[in-house]
Amino acid sequence: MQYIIILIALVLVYLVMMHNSIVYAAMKVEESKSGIDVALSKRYAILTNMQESVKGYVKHESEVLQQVTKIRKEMSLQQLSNANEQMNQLKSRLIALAESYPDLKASDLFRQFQDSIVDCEDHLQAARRFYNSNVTLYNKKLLMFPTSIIASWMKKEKAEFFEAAMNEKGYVSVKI
Amino acid sequence: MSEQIEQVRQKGVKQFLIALIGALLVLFLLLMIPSTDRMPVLMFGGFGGLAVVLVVLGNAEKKYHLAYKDIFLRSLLENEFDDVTLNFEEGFSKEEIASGHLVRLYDRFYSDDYIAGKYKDVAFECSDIKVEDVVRSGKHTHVVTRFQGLYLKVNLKKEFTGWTVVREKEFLDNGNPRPFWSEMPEIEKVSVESEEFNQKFSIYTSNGEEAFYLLTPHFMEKLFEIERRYEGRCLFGFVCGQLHIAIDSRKDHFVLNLFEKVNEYRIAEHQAEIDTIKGIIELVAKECETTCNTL
Repeated sequence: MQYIIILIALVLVYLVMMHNSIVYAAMKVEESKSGIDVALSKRYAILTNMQESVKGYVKHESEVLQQVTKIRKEMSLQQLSNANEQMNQLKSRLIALAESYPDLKASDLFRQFQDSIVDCEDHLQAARRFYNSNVTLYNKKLLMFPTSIIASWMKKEKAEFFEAAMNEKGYVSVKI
Repeated sequence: MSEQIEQVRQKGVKQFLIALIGALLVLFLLLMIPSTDRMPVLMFGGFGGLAVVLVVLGNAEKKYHLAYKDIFLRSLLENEFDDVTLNFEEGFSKEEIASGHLVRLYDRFYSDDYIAGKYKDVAFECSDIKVEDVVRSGKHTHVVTRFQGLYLKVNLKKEFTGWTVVREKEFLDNGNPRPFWSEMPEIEKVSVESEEFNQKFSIYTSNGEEAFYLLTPHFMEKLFEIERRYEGRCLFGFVCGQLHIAIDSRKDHFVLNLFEKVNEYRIAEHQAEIDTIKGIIELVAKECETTCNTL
């Protein structure tokens, strides 16, 4: 009789461990998603400052520089991806404008912004890769036996990867 | 140059031979003692003589090594690197190695052949280190070498606050740099996109995002290249803005036997050891801080 009790206790402990590993993996996914938020917010701040510095040089231009979506908490992955895409386009426009204005291109401030943007994008790339790595681990737990059984009881769903390619779904057209 | 070194070598050999002959003479004289109970005296004389011979040999070899390194190796290094600082008798301190979280420290620690300099405008420091573990099992004690080889440090361009360790996997070693009872902060194991890299190395970090920031696909290729090119287990650590590289080649670099003259084979061997340092720096140079101003 006592062997049966010990066996049941061991099985329960194992079930609890599997449950906790799934919860931990889900937490890591959320935590790493906030890393993407932070990196995108930083990129947004640098780009808007860069945009402000450019306005002084291009005030005679009739085109209006685009407004990008500010990064907010609780944005979905798709919204983050779209905001990132807008920032990519703004950055391209700013760099292209600088090519037309040698004074702007040569200014220390603009060069500092460019360096900051490069570093910021490295951090964003790292945040994306880290997030995707955590998503892979989490999805593996949901799909592989025996954690898949616990995951189905917990009604857990697969997490999405963060993809910021130019031709992804939900491409946002930019106002000029 | 080589005559000076040869003079030191011959002096050392003479001293060794004198000590050896002296010890054998003392042993012979002790054997002549007409005593039924001369065993303890013989043993004392024997061990004492052996100790003296070993001390003399050790000192002679040390003087020879220093002469070779100071006279000959110094010029080799000054040809290859800029702003060279050398200290052949000392290397990195135990605390410096411990701060890298790369090489686990045990009971004994030795370090020598400190070299600091610049190569292709990349400032570096390196040293030979050796870590030994005194293992006691019952009445027996034996010494196990846990690490022996080159330890190199360079400054990286990227700024980061945490630390990340990339260790080549080994049988019965999970690569975790944090012992179970340690007061070190929690670390996490991460896996990168490359399965090949994950199978070869284990990555532990105090900040997962920073690990991915440092380990770009391009840089991981460079680390892989270092592992392929150089014999020995490779360990890479990112700490305090620096990259630490340790290669457990189980070789003591730049050594020369007292009974061996400086010859082309040894010179080529030592040149190859210098080329190892150059090769590693060339592979990681793009990620390193350079000392010249770029326009």
